[in-house]
Amino acid sequence: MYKLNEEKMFFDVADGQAVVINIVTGMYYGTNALGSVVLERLVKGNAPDEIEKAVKNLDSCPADIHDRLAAFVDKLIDAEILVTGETVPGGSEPIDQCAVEDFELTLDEFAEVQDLLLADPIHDVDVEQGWPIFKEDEKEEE
Amino acid sequence: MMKEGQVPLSAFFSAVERRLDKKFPGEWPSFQIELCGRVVEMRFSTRIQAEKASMEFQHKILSDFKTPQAVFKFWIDDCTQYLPSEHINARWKIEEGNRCLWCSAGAGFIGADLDRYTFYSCHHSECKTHQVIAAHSDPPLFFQWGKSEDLLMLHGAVVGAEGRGILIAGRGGAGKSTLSVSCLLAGMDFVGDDYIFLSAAGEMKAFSLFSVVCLSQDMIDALRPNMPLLWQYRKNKWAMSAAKYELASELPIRAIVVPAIAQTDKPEMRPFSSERAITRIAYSSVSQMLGIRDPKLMRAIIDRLTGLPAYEFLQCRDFQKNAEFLHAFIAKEL
Repeated sequence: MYKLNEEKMFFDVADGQAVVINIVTGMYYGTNALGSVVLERLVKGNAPDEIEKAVKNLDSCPADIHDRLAAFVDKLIDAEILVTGETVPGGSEPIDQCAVEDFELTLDEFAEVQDLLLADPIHDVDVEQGWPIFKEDEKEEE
Repeated sequence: MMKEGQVPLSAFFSAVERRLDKKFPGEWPSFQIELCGRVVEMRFSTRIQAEKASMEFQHKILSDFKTPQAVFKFWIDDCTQYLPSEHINARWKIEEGNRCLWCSAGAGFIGADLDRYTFYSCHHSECKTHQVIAAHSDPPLFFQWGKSEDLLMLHGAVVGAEGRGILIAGRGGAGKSTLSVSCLLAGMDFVGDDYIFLSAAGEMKAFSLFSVVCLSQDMIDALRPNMPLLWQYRKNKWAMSAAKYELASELPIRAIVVPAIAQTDKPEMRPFSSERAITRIAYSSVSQMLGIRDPKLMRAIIDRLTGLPAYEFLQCRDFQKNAEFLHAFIAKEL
């Protein structure tokens, strides 16, 4: 089965939200409510099939949950969060229905590059006509 | 990286200075504080901002003016005068050599010009959830200053006993503030709640920043009546002054403590995963930075805290007992 890639990743779950940090790059990941429950069980070494049983017991579980879980596990492996490990019994314990908002399984990646702007409001300006002359300065000059 | 023909960030800050001179002429309400052994000056465009901030830094205000190492400028203005409106409502940052500029999605912008050691915080006048009434003034601005001084600003509390400190990690509802205020009321060393500075190299020491603590009404009722409350900043949230109590300006850090609430009669301390505790502090700290993702900060915090032992502290119903237990634990075990 799987375990946390301890050489590269730190993991914590608090207040129902899992966080994974790549200690080599500083990049970090967050999961939504159901994703956090599933990831916590995967990190413990529980088999995906067992976890799937618990998810299927939730009200309104969609028919394609098997595929959704498989895709989520693939994402976690691709991100090098999970590596192969020993199977630890368990995983099918009931999930608190109130803690699950929906049946999406999301893994959000937080990297610095996402904060860069396509258009740079400071650097890309016409020195002659625009910035760094403020609007009110312009009005006064008119 | 700047391309040929682009305007440098220094031009932005020069233009900001010109606008400030024009829009807010004359002397600004100001005071000086001692921050981690340095004198810094805080200047405000309005008296109400200055008064509120003076309560946040009550324990640090200096009576004699000295030459400041850094100047912080806080003002309220229409941010569209400075930046294109489409960029005002986004989150972004620009770093260029010794300067940086962050924008916080409609709330305003902060900037740091390390060539002039001046730090800027412009609160957008159109912002409804105005920072002026929040509990703490611009933590990301102090983070920027700390970075230039080899200090890491962390989201966490620091308390201690007998000259030794612990870093209390916590995300909302975990009992961080309840525990730190219990320790404060019990007369233990208290460096701060919510935000503290940590030396980035050498001996691991925590330094105080704000002297206000955020408490919910439930916590106030449970901890002690007649607490020195300063102002209400959300429906159920109050800012309390810790400046009325004995505060420690710095403490060496010996461990991380992750608090938890247990409905028991006796508190209990048990070993906890250091990796999990560090993850909690690092994530919590980075999340405070105006929503800007900062892998470099994440790495710096992890590298710094790695090696510290971690414990989970199960707090019982009796706050006094919790503080006494923690005091004894620090004195005997750390």
